[in-house]
Amino acid sequence: MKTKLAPIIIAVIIPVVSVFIALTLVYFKKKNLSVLEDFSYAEYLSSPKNLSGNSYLLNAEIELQLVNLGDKGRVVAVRTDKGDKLAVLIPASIVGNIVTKQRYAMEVLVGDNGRITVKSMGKY
Amino acid sequence: MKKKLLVLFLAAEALTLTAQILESFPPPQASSPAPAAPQPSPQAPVSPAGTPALSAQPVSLESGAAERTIDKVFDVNSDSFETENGSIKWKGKTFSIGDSRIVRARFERYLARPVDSAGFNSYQAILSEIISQLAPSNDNLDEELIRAAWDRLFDAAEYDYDGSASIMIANVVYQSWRMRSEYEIKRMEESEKLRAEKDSRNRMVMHAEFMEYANDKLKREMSLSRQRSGGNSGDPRSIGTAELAARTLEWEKAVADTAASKTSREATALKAILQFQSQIVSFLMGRNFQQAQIASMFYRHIYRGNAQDLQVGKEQLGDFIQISQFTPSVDTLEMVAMQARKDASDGMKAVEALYNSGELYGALQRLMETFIIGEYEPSLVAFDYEKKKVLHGLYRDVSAIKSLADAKDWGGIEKTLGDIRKVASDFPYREILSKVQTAQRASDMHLMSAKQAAALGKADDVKKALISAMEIWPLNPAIKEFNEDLVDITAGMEKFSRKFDELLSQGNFRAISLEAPEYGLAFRNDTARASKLKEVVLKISQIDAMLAQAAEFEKQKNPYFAWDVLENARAIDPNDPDLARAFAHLAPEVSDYVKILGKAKSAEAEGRYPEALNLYLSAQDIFPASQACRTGIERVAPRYAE
Repeated sequence: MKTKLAPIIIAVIIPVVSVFIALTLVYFKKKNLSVLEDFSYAEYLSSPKNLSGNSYLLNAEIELQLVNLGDKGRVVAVRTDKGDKLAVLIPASIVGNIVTKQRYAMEVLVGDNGRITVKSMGKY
Repeated sequence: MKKKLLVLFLAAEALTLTAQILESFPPPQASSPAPAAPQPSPQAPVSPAGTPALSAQPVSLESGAAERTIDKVFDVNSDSFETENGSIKWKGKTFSIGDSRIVRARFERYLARPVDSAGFNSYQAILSEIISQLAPSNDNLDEELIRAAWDRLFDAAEYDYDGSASIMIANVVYQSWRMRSEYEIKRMEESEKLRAEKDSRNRMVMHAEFMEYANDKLKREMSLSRQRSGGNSGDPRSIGTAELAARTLEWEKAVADTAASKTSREATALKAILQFQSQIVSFLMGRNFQQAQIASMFYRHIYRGNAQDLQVGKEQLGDFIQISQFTPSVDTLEMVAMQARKDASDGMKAVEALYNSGELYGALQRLMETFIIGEYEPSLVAFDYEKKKVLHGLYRDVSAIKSLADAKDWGGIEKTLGDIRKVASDFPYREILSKVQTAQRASDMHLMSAKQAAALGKADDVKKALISAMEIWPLNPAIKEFNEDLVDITAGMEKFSRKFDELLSQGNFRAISLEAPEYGLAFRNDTARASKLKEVVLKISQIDAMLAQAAEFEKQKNPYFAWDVLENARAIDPNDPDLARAFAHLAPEVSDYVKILGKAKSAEAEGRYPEALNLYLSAQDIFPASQACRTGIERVAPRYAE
């Protein structure tokens, strides 16, 4: 009897556990980004210095690549989900193709001179 | 050269147009009323009808032949005014009206002349009474009634409007009556002479018969005597031969006297008829249609159906009525006169209607045409003086346009057209104005060429362009100004050099450009300054072109494009005052874009390239086609990582 039930239980448990683990991973990942504040475009335009050193969550769609700086990365124009247009630097360390018209959730850092650098990013 | 020819052509067109306005005006009449003939005695003899018949087939009103002929004569499609040979062709008939200048003068005099309405109406009442008395329906008028109408001619002659025409008619009527009297006297004398001739002939015949009888008797007696004596009978008898010869001569003389008397009688009749017909033709050719009508009516009543064929003026009437095998008669002339009078009357009705509807130019044209035909017609003479005064003013203005066009005074024409437009809305001023403005602009273009040539120091080209500008518009005020400037330049080259250096050091290119032609002439021997001047003029020309382009964009409700163009102009000369004014004018309309673009430029200038890039992108969002944003992005994007 014991031997007969064991494979069925195992067969049920394995997918359940897998789904749980996956959901947990997604949850924690999301939780890490959702900790960041949304990037304020209006605030940035009025005074970029005030945002200097801060990290923000930026949900945006890639519009076009403005320039490829080689080792330093690529400067890309994105349009936020609120419709504002701005340029971000995607360092070369972030590996992967940048696809236009694709929406990304980005963790960005505002530098001293107003430069917006992507620290991490993922499609959503 | 082609442009010049085109301009001259257009100027000529303008001249032609104005000329047409005035040249529709035909030339003058040759004939004027003859001096008044002596007034005949009221006791002039009146004789009954019975004048000699000069025509075998007279045209009479009763037969209707005149009406049928009139239909053939009138050709309404052949009306024309021949100014070259001084004649008008009206309904197939040609009138000599003389020199056009004299007609114009007469027309002006007519427009300026007030009318004594009461006096004129009285005068016309008399003539209407005469016409009524002599109307065709009264063909068998009693001589006393004709005499009464004739008496009224002297009443009509009292008025100045008559111009002694009634006296002339009265004279020819009187001549006819006197001729009839003389004709009767001569006919009685002729009867006496016929009797005398007959008596003389009888006496001659009786004497000859007596001589025949005496000779026969003598022969018989001599024959008997010879038989009895057997000797010679002697010579034949010659007694009475001289007497017979004398009586024969007497008879021949009587025959000759009778023939001479008959010839004299017929000559007297013919002379009166010729005088009468000549006077009618004279009235008609002189366009005194009312008088021609009255004279024709008198003629018809006096000669009563015979002597209607014209004996005079046939050659003139051959041109006058261009129909082959046409036999003109006095009735024909009367119908022509009546038709002309009706035409003048209809013309004046059209004038009144046009005037009252405010179409004064049309009214003036119709009045001119009607004046040519019916200058002496009562409907024209009685035309309201106040209306004539208004039309006179309009006529003077229209005449002035022609004179001004002859002098190529386009400015003067423009002003006069303005005056005409206030009075006559139907005047074709737009066509004239467009030609005037074309000529003005053509002259200005040549002047502009002169200035450009001056800016380049090309003195010969300046001269040529100035001559061209003057040929088209001699009184162009800009030519005078330009000439004065040239004189000033020649007088003070040193002054111009100093001023140029000073303005150039200040970067005031606009001020230099405004006096570029003057500087150009002043520096024609100064290569260095001339080269700098050329650069300045080029820059300002480019800025001016961009300013014009921006203004056009603004008109098309594209203020951002306009701003973009101004931005490009600023790159050429940021200190240009005209450009600054254009920026200030446009800024409120594009304030959002300008504000962000300004911040972007500041950030770029201060080396904050990432901030500048984002500001350029933001500005580009407002105006996607912005050249300033595109170039700004291209400049700062590579420096984003710095």
